[in-house]
Amino acid sequence: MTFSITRRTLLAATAAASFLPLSAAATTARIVRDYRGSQPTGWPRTPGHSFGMTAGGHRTAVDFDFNGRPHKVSLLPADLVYRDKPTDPEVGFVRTLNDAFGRWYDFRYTGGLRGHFSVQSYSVFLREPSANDPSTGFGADLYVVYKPGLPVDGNLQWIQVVNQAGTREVDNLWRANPWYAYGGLVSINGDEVVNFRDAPQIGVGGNIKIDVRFIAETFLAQDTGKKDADGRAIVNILGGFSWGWQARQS
Amino acid sequence: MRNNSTGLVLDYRPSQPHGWPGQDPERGAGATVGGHSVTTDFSDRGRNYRLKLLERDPVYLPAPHDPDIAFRRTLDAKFAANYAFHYVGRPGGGRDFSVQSYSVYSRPASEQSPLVYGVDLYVVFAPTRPIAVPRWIQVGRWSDATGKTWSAVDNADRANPFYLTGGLTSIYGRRIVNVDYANQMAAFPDQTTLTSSFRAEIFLAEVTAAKDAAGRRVVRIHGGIRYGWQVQERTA
Repeated sequence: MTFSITRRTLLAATAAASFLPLSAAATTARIVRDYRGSQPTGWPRTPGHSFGMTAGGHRTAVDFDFNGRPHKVSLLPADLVYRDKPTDPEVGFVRTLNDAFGRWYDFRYTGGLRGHFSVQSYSVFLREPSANDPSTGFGADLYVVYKPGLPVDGNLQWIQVVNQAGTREVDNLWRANPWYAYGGLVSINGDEVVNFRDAPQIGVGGNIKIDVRFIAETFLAQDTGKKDADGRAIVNILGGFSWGWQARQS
Repeated sequence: MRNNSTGLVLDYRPSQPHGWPGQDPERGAGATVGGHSVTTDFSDRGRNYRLKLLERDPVYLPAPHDPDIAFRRTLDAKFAANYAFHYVGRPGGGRDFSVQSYSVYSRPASEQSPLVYGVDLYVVFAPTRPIAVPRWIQVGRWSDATGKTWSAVDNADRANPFYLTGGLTSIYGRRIVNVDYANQMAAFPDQTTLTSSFRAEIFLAEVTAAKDAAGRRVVRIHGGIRYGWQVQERTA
């Protein structure tokens, strides 16, 4: 029996799927659905691609069989939801972040995001068992580009707090700061962009019950370079979004 | 602390957090190996090996130098279509590179883990004037047990040439420009020998806001560092 969680690595061996690119259509003032085909992200590679690529599109659910029973992996929620400030008690963003990093960083929930988040890939994916990997894999692919309408710089970072299997944590790959590892200012074939990339997924095998739920709140943050009276680095939390996915028997 | 050449200060320190991802949640935040350990000996399936640094200390480079690594040619071959690299020499407005960890290590196999061995290089740069966007570019030359050798841009197969764990980061509230090369290897049953080597030139790169007439992003290459390691089989 295997049950491996590989959310922390960017693996996106996605099932081939046909996506219909949508023209930009604002759902709120801060979230723009601008789903596109697979594209490079500027972050590390994914299996089967020469560069780190998105899955692309907006595939909200996939049905699959596991151990002879029907299952479904689906986005949760189906579209990103903009948040001016963290709100989800299931994630517990403020407390989780403060417990982990409040000693060194002064997080100020200023809101007031300028520009918008362009959501260019938000899709679930399924990986069938193969000779190389006998497990069944599934998860979600998210790629968001921040469009500020202003020049961007290296002071913009992302902070993501997740709740997975009931465990809340700052998703920073065990760094000495709260920054999400695959986001921020990056270069893509010569263009400088501020983006966010995640592809949480799970591989399962054997006789187990699948009941997975992953939810996150992800916020754009500005490292101001200033310190508060206690010597802590002041970080402005500008705005963010909620997203996630789940997998279970249908 | 000592200078071994213009542009570089050897300031080996104990293990410290570097602000980049860690390799093991049990060990806490990502951290350097620390210190300056030049060799380590280990055994695997009856064979004895020595992992050692190729040069005792890293060497400062004002510009790419090694013809085998072929920094410029290797970099251009992969990225010149989208980036224009301008070699401007020693960083102006900045202190010397501070080398704070350059060490090899090995840990014997256990029930939980195979034999692991590795190399760590940690360098800090303190700019005294604003640098547009500080990054690092590393071109390495690898040699494996079959004798195959090749040079490549060490960029984690990304759509840019920059080294993944270098640039501007934050360490418990303190902003810093650094780079950490952390290569941990493991001995697996399908490996007949662990013999291998690696040489690299890594340069501070400043990503500017400018593009050239051809529409390519202008990247200024400042000074750099040469270093490397090798694993050799040895008789008992």
